[in-house]
Amino acid sequence: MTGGNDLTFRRVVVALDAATDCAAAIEMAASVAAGWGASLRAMFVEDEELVRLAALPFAQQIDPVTALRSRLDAAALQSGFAAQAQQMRRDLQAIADRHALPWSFQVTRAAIGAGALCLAEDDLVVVAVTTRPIASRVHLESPWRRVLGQVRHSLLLVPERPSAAGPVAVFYEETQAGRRALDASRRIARAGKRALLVVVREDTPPALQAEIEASIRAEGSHVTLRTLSAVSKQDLHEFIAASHATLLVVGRDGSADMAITDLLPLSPTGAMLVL
Amino acid sequence: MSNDGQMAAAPVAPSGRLDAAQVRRRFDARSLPFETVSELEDLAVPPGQELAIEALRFGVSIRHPDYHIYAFAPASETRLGFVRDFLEQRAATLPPPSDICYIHNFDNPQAPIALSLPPGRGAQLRDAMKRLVQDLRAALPAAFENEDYRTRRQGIDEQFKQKHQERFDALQKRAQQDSIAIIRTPVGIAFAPTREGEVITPQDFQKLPQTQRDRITATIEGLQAEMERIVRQVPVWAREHREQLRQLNRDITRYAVAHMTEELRAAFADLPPVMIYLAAVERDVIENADDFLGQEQGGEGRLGPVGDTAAADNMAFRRYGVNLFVDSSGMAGAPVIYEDNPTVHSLIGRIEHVARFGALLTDFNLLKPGALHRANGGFLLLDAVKLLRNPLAYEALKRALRAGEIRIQSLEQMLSLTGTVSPDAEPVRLQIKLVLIGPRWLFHILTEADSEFAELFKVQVDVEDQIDRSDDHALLVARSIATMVRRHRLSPLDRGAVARVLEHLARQSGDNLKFAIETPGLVDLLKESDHWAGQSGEKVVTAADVQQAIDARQRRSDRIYRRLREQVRNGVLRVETRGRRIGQANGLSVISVGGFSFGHPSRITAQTRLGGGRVIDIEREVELGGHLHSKGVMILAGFLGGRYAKEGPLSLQASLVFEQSYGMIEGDSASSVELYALLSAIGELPLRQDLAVTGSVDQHGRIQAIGGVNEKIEGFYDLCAEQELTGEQGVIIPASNVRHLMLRQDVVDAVAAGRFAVYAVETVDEGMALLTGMPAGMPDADGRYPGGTVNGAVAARLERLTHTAVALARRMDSEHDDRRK
Repeated sequence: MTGGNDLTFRRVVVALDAATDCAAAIEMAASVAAGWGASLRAMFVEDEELVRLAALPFAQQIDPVTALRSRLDAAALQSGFAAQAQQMRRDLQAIADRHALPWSFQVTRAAIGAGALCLAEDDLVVVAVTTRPIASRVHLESPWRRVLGQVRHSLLLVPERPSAAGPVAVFYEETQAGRRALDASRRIARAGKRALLVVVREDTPPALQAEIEASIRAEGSHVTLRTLSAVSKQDLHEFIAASHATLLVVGRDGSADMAITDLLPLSPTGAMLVL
Repeated sequence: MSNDGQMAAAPVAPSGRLDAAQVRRRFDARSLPFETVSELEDLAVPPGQELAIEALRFGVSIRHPDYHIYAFAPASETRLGFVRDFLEQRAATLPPPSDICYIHNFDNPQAPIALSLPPGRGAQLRDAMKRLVQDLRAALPAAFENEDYRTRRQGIDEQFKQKHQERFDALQKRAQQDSIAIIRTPVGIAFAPTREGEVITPQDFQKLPQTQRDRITATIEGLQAEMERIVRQVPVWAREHREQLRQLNRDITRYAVAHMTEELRAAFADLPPVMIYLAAVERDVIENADDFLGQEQGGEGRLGPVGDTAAADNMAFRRYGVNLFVDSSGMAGAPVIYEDNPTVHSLIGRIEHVARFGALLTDFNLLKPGALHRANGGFLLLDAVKLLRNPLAYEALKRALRAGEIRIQSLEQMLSLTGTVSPDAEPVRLQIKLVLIGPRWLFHILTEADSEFAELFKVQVDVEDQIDRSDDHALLVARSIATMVRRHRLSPLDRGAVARVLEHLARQSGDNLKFAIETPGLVDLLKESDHWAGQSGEKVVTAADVQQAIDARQRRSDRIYRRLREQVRNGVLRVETRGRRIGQANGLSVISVGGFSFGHPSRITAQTRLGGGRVIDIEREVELGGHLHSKGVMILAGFLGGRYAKEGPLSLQASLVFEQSYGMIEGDSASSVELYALLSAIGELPLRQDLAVTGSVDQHGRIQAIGGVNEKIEGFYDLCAEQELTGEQGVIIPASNVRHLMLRQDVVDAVAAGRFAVYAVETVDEGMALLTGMPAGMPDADGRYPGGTVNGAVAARLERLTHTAVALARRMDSEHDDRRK
């Protein structure tokens, strides 16, 4: 059940751009990097699509607070990029220093996507799933979601309001990815002294369920095992809402009856670690 | 001894020499009808204060607010006790005043409300409000933790979010239909035409037909306009959302509050102002329920952060506090307050501040009452001198009395020094009778200098400081002593001790036919006598203890007196107590240092020569003589002219001086001795140096009374006794001062034994006869004085001077004529 699935990350790469809410992503990335002893790398991508838009003759932007309209041109865009990059670099430095992490910060102009991140094999990619709000409590989908379909790397999907507290939920299947997910969730729960909720299919052998429960308890963590007859988006969402879990760990190659992207967003506070 | 127990004063002997009974009017202890003062009842009203009591009764009874009282008296404990006792008796018959509470003004937080409540209800309200806040702090969070509330709140949140989302989703859908993407820019929201999911390049856009470019531009324009409308609508939705949440919170809070204040409203249903206040509290709690939910508000109250660190958590709730400003619970009558330190703020109250994060903050809970508040509805006693010593206190007091209300203001506000925000507390209505206790001179100064004083203080209580000496009054004084003894828990005095105290009081009064009453030092004398009795292991104070207290007190104070006598003994200060001298006599003056007075002899000398009738006062010439002293010397010139030069010139010039005097000389009590020295110098008559003299004189040669006669006699006696009493030494005093004699026992003993003499004289002639041993001499039918008499010698000398003057004048005339020829 365990062993042979040691999960290591050499780097945690946090994807940043002008549209997404990056402070939360950086904070969460740093926290994970500290937990795994990884370095922290931030990549601020100046979105080529925005650059193209700014070159169009009618390009304008509307201030989401004042509703005032202004011309969106290359110069305004560039200064906006520069200001944001500078701010994010400062945030990253402060957070990395707090966690005593080695860090780097890079700016590149590219299309939003995995290609812009220059990933290595054992990187963990951290992306925000929503943009900064365009109005009170209204967000757009982050363009970084497309990374899910572009790479096989481990991904941490950061919600609007992530929380470092609250239970950790894991969907366990008897697959390699499932075992990796269970190991990672146990590690996170143990380090953060968080309760662990293990969701298993109904057909998981009871002996295995008992073994999982006992082994987690032996580590001193509080564990709750829950069986689901069918693992659907709705089932998982209801389970997450009822348990107030703030992190769901799933295996990428699991046999869940839906695509990972269908699970998003879990909730404004629910993050997802895809392994 | 007379029937009334007083030692009768014997008539003055023809020689003027007084016997022992005359120099100290003893009080016979046997006339006192008790063994010790323990047998005597307390005396509520001091003896001799009938008129003062009548004035006090009038002052406290009259209803008009401008009839405050000024009692003439130094603010000594005994006098204060007498006035205070009276006021307390009166206050006991009056109802207790209302409680005063300061509460938050929910309509105008800067103007706290003064709530007047029946006695005891203020504390009740304060405690009830404290409990209410505690209960609300527990109950409201529970109400908001309730699952029903959460569901309703989530419903409102969801509804709000849904409204946003629907509008944006519709916009996004519309954009997608036209292949337009909504993109977040660094500072805004933009719409971009797309092709195959990517933003179209400017080159590709330019390649599009004009109609398509126009359509895209128009579509984006429409989307932008819609986005603007939505963004503008967002604050309106947010407001609606907040209002819905607030209304939900109000509903939840209203239910909880109404339930919890039900009991409170029932308890104060009889007090409409409290009901109004409670209604305001309810409204405020409902409007600010978040304050009770703690974590959401971080403890910031509507009044601003006030209080110490430990109380920081309670800051939000300070506005629900009740500042029990005046608590009359348990009071049986009206208050009688004596404020010993009448500063502005101790009178009208003050606004305290607390330091918080480097700033000084305050609110109505930090309003503190003054003496006017505490005495409201009753009586306030103040020491007038202390009141005037405190800057602005008198003005603040008058302002309150004139306005009939107490308004708390800081000094900065009074002087308009700063414009910081301070509570403008509602003034409290003032109903008070103010009693100022102060000296008579201050009353007269205030009456002259301040017209408002006369308008406010219309009742004068003139406290007597002495009463006639009689057995009845002696008994009253004894009861007064008994009262003090019990009040101060002293050992009782036996009748001998009381008699000694009475003699002391007689001496203090300056008249052996009077008793001083309410003497400031009387209580001290009783305490010190008690001390000495205790030292002797006695439980009853005797005359010896009283005498020891008097003697010890003198010893503690008489250092300068002893030093002066030492200087006389050493010859540094020259005073002769034997032999005879022409133009020199011993005068007596009184020196007061630190409350101790003693007599001190001085040589007064006179010189005469031919002149124009002028008597020079050397003290005056060097500006060391006061006006009264100069007047006395001028009277001498009048006497000389009137007696010896009625029909002719007074061809004399004389000078007078206090020898070895280096300070100011004031008073006319030395005028008789100056006259004796002058007559001695004129008549060349030696004067006895073993006699000292005191007394003033008029232009007819009549000797008049002076002050400090006892101290003067004792001063000369001490000087003589330190050398050796010859039996011839003594003091000449005015006959009108005999009634003032209450000499020390050792002096009395010396007089009784014939070792020292006190002579009382009516006229200069009697004095000169004593001093010279010669008869004064009466004029014959022609107005001429016989030879061998004082007046004869003086007149003869003056006549010789006149002849000399005439001869000189003639010779000068003759020489003048010769020169003209």
